[in-house]
Amino acid sequence: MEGTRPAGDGSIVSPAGFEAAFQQHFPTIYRFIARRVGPALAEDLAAETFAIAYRRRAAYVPGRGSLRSWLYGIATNLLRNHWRAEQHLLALDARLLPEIDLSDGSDAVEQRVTAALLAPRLAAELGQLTREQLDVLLLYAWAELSQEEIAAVLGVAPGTVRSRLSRARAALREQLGDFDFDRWTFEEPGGAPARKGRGHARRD
Amino acid sequence: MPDEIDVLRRFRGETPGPSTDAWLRARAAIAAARSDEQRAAPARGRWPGRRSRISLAAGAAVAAAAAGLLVVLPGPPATRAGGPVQTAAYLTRVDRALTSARARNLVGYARTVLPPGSRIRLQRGGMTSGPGVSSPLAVAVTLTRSYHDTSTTIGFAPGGQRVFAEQTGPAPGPGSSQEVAVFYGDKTWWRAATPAPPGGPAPAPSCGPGIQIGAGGWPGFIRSQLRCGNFHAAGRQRVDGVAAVRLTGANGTVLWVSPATYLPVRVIVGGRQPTQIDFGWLSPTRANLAALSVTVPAGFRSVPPP
Repeated sequence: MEGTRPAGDGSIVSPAGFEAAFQQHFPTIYRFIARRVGPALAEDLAAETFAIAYRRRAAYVPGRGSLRSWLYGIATNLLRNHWRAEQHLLALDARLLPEIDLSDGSDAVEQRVTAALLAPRLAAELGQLTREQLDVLLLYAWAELSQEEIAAVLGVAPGTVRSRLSRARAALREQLGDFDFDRWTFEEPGGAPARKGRGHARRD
Repeated sequence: MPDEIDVLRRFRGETPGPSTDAWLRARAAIAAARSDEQRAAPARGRWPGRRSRISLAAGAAVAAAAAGLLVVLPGPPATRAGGPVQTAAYLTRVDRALTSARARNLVGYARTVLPPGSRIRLQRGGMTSGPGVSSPLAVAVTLTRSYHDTSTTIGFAPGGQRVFAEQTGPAPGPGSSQEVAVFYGDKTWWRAATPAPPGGPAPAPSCGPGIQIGAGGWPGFIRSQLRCGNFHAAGRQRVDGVAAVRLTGANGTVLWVSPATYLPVRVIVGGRQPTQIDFGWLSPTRANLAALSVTVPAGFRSVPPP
């Protein structure tokens, strides 16, 4: 929410500071969790994330990193206990083609069709990644944390994050081999070669 | 230039943000964490020395109506922006209706998360709460425990500090009850005798507005409301680890009920500024019963009841 920020020094120890942090970050943290394990479980885990944050609020030091990344760290730790639920959801998405809204007939429909066609492939590939690779990849792509922030969140060296991210991205590119990123479509038979993925992904 | 990360950002990109339920749930979890912290904190700020302890004996005969005749849920639309929220006023009495579990010999527990900006006014015989209520008592969460004819409510400020504690229970005289309220802000307390409401057996739950809990307690109330069509079953959900049936009623009221016991697990009322109450049903252990006592700290000043 605009207009609500933690206290001027970034502290969340005071009730007002924590309330402002909650209002500002709850929607994004909830959505990150919901994208990974679905909305039903997300209600529990997002609530638990902020309950834990409240209990540990004195441990958050604004100068050592962003509040956002600290909260994503708590959420990611909680998500580790629900790895099977996440895998189950990915397995479902890998088998099902999402519903597509074709009602408006605009150019956006084409993009939605493409996104729907991509979803099972992405889900299948995400389901093949190791837990560590998936955490890094989704913190990077969905939470939009920097590699340094991810390293701090996960408590690993920046080089490890780089390595995991690189392998995860390569695996995705491999899976999307015939997708033309520039034209946002799959390569047409006999058409210009798409900008394909390079190399082969190795698992950690 | 787009790449696989851009593609991934669209995957499940339509996932909606948190619902009202999700917000309320998170607020309740934070309130619980804050409450735990308060309980675990050393007794700083308490008065040293002797404390006068007011412990009301449970189980004495008070008119059965005290527990069974309380209005719990609104009938017609009652909320309006800016004014007192009538639903919330009713809901403070939901907590007391916890005693309707007496037949099962349980200690009822209710945690109520009030709409932001809520205040509570305590009067002899009851309390009124809501954002528009005129009172110096700003309260975010209340915890209520009830057992047989005794009920204790503690109010917490948005910052987690105790604002008041209030207990109702049987008085020594026949057919009456007494009420004790302690105010931590101005260090005052009062005690009042409350005549029992007009006697007679509790009526059967009504199908019209102004729903009441009857002699059958919560299970009877819920069954009757389903029969009347005031509530409709809307699937099953897990609420705080309990597999519950979701019942939807008028004015956005949602009630989650354990299908095994017909006791409520959670209720949310009030559309724009909802109030959430989470229920628990505990065994009457010594610790749970001790939590029903209200202690007036030494040095607090006695004032006449309003």
